[in-house]
Amino acid sequence: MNGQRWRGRLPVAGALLALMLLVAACGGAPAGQGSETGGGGASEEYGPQETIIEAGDISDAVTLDPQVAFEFSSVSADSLMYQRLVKFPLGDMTKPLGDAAESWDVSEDGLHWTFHLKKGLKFSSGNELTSADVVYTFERVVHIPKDPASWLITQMGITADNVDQLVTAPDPYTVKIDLPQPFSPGAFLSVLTNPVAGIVDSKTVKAHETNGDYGSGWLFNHSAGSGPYMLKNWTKDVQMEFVPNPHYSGEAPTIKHVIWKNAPETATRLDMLKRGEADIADGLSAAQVETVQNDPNFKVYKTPDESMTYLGMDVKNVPCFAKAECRQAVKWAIDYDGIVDKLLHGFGQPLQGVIPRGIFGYTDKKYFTQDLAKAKELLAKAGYPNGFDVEMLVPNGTLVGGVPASSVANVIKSNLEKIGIRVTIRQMEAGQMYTEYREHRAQLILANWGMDYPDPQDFAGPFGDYTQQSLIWRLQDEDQELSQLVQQAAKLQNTPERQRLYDQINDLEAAQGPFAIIYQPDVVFVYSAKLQNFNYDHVNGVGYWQIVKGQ
Amino acid sequence: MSGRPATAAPGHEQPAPASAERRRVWRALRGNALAMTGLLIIAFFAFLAVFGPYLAPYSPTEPDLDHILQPPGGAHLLGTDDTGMDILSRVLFGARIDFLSALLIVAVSMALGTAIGTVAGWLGGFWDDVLMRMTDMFLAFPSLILAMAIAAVLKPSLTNALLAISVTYWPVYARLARGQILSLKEREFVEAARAVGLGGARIVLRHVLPNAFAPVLIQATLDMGAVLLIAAGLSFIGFGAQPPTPEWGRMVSDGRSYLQTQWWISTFPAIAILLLALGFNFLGDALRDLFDPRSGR
Amino acid sequence: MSLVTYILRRLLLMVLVLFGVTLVTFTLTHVVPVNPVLALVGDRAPQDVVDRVYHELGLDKPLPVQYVLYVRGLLHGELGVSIADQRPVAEDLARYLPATIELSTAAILVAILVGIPTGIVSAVYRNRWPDHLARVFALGGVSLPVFYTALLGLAIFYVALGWLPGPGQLSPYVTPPPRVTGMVVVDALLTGRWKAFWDGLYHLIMPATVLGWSSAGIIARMVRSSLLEVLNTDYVRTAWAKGLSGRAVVLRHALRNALIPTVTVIGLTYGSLLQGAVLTETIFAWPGVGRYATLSVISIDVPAVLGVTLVAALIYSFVNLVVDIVYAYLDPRIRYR
Repeated sequence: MNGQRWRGRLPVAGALLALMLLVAACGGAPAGQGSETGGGGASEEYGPQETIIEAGDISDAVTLDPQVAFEFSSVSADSLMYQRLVKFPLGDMTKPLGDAAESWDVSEDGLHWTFHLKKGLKFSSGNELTSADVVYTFERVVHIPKDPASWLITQMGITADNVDQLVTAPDPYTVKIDLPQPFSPGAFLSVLTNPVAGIVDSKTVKAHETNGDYGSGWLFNHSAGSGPYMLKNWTKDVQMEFVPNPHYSGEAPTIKHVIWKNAPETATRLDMLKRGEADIADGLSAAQVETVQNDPNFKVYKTPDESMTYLGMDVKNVPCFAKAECRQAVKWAIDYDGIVDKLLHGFGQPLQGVIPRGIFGYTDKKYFTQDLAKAKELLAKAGYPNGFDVEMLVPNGTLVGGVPASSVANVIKSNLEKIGIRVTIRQMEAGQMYTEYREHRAQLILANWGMDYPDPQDFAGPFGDYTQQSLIWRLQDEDQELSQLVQQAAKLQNTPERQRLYDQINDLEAAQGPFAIIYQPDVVFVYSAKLQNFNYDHVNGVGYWQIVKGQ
Repeated sequence: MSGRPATAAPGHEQPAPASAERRRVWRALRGNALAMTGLLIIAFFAFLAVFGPYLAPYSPTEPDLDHILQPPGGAHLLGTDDTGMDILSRVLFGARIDFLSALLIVAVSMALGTAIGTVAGWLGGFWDDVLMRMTDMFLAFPSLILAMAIAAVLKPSLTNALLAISVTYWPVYARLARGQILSLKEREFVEAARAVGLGGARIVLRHVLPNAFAPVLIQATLDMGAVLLIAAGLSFIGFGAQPPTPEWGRMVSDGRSYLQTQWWISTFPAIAILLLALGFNFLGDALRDLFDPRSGR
Repeated sequence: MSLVTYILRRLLLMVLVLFGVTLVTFTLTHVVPVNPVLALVGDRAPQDVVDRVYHELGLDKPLPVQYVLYVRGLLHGELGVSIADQRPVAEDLARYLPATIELSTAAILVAILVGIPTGIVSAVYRNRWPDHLARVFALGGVSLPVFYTALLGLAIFYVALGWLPGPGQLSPYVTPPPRVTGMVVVDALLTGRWKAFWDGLYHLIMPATVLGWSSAGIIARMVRSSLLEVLNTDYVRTAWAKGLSGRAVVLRHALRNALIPTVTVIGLTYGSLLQGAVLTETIFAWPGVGRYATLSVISIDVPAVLGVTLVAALIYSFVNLVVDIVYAYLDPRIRYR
């Protein structure tokens, strides 16, 4: 068939067809229906200077119930909405101050605590915060089943069976907590700063209880706290919005509307920041931050994260790792400086002890530098002069500090292969990786450990005390000596003696522990230069309540 | 629709001699710019798949922290990634991995599908019903989700990803082969073979299958492009090739957070994927055009 | 066989197929060496808590028992409770599915608007340069790795040029319309929120184009070959000879006939757009079922994975059925297959 004849008639045909399809597509929807008053409106309540939009990943949030939330974004959200008995001042995690508590006393033996509450604190409902709310909060933590955050409280021996006797309210402004077993006073107060101890409005929550769920179904996407902000709206995987708590006892924040916009790809967060559609972007990689570093419209906030990236060696699954020399060989083979300076572009700090800087007990000792000759020698001493084959588990995605986990893994693989340890990388989703890890099925594992409460015990315990059935136990290393030291240090207050014990623990970990600590990442925010007073710490999160936004 | 069957089949009762048909196809292909472009691209990547590793200037898996994130040009023609691996070398090595992956998936699903479709079509009745309902079931599966699930079950690795995709891809071939067999079964030459007393298996293998093969092969060529994209996509979301394997989808994924700053890390492997997929689709499209009775040749 | 019996037979088969799908998915997800409880109680939970919850969720029951329980729930219209977020799967799906349907529908519209004209150009100028150009364009769409094009599209049209909006369904400042269907644009239209409507439509352009372009190629291909067939039939030539204008011939006869097989392809493509959504939703921060599926598979959230596969298979089978019925209606010979 000769196509020439049809020429010139096509545009008309095409247009007609397009029109037909459009009409067909729109036919189903009753156009023009709806109120005349429509057109949004609600969002224009607050001006741009009163609004902050932060682009990040909030898809991890499961629930906003403060006693249950255990994901990064939900805990940060609860931190804004709930007051705790005590808190750390923003940016300083050394000494807790009163939050809902005016003052507190503790018995000689560190077991009996009495908190005196501030008067006149109010929840967003207008109800006053009293000791009954604190007692109810503790009840919730230990009673709600399948609660990933409850271990923070139950590790002190407070359980569903004894909470009624241990946490009591002699009068409306006094709360007594009696610990059934010794627990470091410093660690105790630190745990109380975690949003798991965020005080909920018992009257409001009880009104929403269904089937004895302690109101957890309702608190899932509502808030009932006395913090500076309350929840306006949470659309899962889309955005979370906060507005000021009208009854907040402190100074009213100038930022009236905080929006967390979900952007799982870091590249799109940077895009939004550059287009002015976000005021803050988090989790960016060093390379991405570099693109805005010299731009006067943006500022970069960088601080060491209370976490570390480490390489764990299973001492039973890999025969060589049973020998301390072999573990030492691995530690001497890794190019720590290359990883921090080049891969992280300096967005991280060298760290070789098990306690990160910023936490009591930290050591700046650099036990190891890359020394391949020494590593080879140690490997030979362990009886493996020709090396061995090993599988390394690596999580998907990027590690804290914005570097792809696979990149760090590739460098370590190449380092180890230089001394004859042949590595096969197996990258998987974190959930899958931790299952294998817990079931003692790892050989070599690249992982991250982050802080839950700012006390050395939160690090030395998992890394050193196998009886806690945490990290060192997962690697099947039942090191009695380390375990005893850790338990001894746990009972002490932050005294020079405690510091000496942690120094000893760090030395011992370096000499024989199954971990090669690789670095401490930085947490980085890039924000619009319009924002003043930007501050952050690991427990409080970003202090939106003190930010002032200029023109 | 016209009265013709929708399946591609020679218009005569007697199967066309294969060699003559082949010559006709080749002549037509040679005159078809699209087909020739496709063939050239495929040939180019086939060449890379074979010789790429010898042409690569660097190791594709060895980090070099002193030369990270180098822009294209100079010692690294296509630049380096965040661990200093040479992109050109990785793309060259990747040619073998990706080309072979697509080939393998298509071959496995084609073999599996054709076998099932042929048996169903030839036996008919109960077995036809059973096999085709099974085929329907697998067709109804969201294949990427099924592939992800299988890949997760089998531990993520390239081989397992290939297997997973093959498991989800065969039903297309089963349906195609069955249709072909059904239409060929009633033909005179099959009747004749039966009359002579040839066994069923022999008739199928020697007489029916070769005639049913053309549309299956065209489908295979077309699928190569699609399969290449799925395999790369599965690696992109982390269910396929493991680091530091220089697989293209994986490379695109590794470079995604560097897209605005070091665009070359994911762009070059993405271009490689696009080109090779284009090659297969050009050729497949032209082939289908030639064999499709409705195109009114 | 009447049309009614045909439909009944197909419905029965569909139920069978769906059961097969649940059985296969169920078996598959239980072979995985992942303890789904960890996603629920957290990595730091003591082992005894993990074991207790494992028991509470019934995960220690024998597999056949678990399957029977699942199917029993299914017959009562229950899809179970997601292990990872402890919400009913049906609720999760109701939340995520509309966004995906909205995106897929927009994508198929793009595919139709692009694919049909491209196919017509191809057929009319067969083997001449407009045909080549149109085919390269269409095949280019089929060959694009969407996971890269999505990123590139954002980098160019959003960041560099600023012509199109960024990720998500709406701008952060725009208040979402009240939920009616769950599809933002449709809801905005229904409730008369014009600002949200235009903003939502604007946000649909890029993801729909990225997703739709690949389907456009398939549609163009079908239009081309069907049109070529019709253009070669006697009656079109006769119509032409009768002196009707060429335009009318194309429109009234050729196109209408060529569109029948095209409808099939459109239906099937629409049913499989979920696949593409898996890869694009993450990049466009689209709160759809594709992303939900990926996350569920990753954490081996068995009830969620089962729910997603079931719904996907249901949609696919349903679309297939509708297409076949339309086809059977238009071409009665099909029924007697």
